[in-house]
Amino acid sequence: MKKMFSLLLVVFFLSANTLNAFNIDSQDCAAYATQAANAEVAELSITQEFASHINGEYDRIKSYWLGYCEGSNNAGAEALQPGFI
Amino acid sequence: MFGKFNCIIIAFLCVFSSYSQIEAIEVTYSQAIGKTRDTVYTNVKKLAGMNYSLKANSTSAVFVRKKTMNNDYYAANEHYMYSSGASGIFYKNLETNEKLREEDIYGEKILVSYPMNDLDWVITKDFKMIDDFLVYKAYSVQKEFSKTHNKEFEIVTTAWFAPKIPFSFGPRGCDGLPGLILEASFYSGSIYFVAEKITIYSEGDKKGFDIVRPTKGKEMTFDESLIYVRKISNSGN
Repeated sequence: MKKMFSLLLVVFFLSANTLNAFNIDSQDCAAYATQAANAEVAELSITQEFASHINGEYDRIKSYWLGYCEGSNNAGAEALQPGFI
Repeated sequence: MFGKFNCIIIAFLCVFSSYSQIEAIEVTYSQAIGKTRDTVYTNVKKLAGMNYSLKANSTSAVFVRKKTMNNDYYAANEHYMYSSGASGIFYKNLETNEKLREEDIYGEKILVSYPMNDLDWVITKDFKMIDDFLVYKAYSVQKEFSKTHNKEFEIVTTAWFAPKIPFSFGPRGCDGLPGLILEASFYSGSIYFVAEKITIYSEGDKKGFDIVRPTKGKEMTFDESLIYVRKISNSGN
C-alpha cells in the first residue's frame, strides 16, 4: 500500500512538471507567434486590421508560427533569410 | 471591300478556333516578392522552392502548392505561403457556384467557402506578353480603416489576364476576369505569383488531370473561419 502511494506521488509530480513545462513553452510560443505574425504583416506593408478582417491571414500566419515554434521547440529562433532562385 | 470582309472573317475564325481548341490548362506559378518593409526590388525576386499548380477547364479549377524534392529553402521560404494567403487547396466551380479552400490549421482540416466574386475589378488598356499570350492588366482596390493608424489604407490587387484563355480563374483564389490570370500581385506589390510554365490540353488530347473538389475538413463560411482560426491561433495563450 505504501509502495503504491509512493508510486502515485511520483506520477503526480511528473505530470505536474510536464504540464507546467508545457504551459511555459506554450506561453513562449504564443508570444513568439504574435511577434512573428506582426513582423510578417509589417513586411507585407499591410495593416493588421487588413490582414485580420479582409483576408483573414493574420491569425493563419500566427497559427503557422505557433505550430512552427511548438513543433521545433524553437521560440526565439532567429529569422531565416529568404532563398531566391 | 470583299477583301476586307474576308480578313475580318478569317481573323474571327482564327480567334474562335484558338478559343475552342483549349479544353484544359495547367499553369505552374512561381512565387516572388516585390518588396519588403525596407526594400523595393527593381525586379521581383523569385522564391526558391515555392511553385504552385493551377489546373483549370472552362468550369472548374484547383490551385495548390507543388511538392518539391528540393528542401534546401523550405524552412526559410515556407512561411511566405502562409503570409501570402496561399496555403491549402483552392477550388472553384462555376457550375455548382462553389469557391472553397481546404486548409490545415494547426493540425485540423477546415473547408472554407468564399463568396464567388469577392473582388471588384477595373480592367485597363495596359498590356504585355507572358509566354506567348497577350495579357491585360486589371486591378482591384480594397479599403480598410486602421484604428491603430487612425486612417484609411488602400490595398491593391493586380492581375494580368489572357483573354485568349477563356477560363475565369487564377492563382490563390484570385479570379473573376474574362481570361486566365497569368500573373497576380497582392498587398500592393509585396507578393507575386508569376506563370512559369503553361501546358495546354486541346480538344482530342488525352486529358492529363482531373479537377477534384476537396472534401476534407469541417465546413464553414469565410466569416466563421475568421472566428475559428482566431480561436486556434490564440490557443497557446
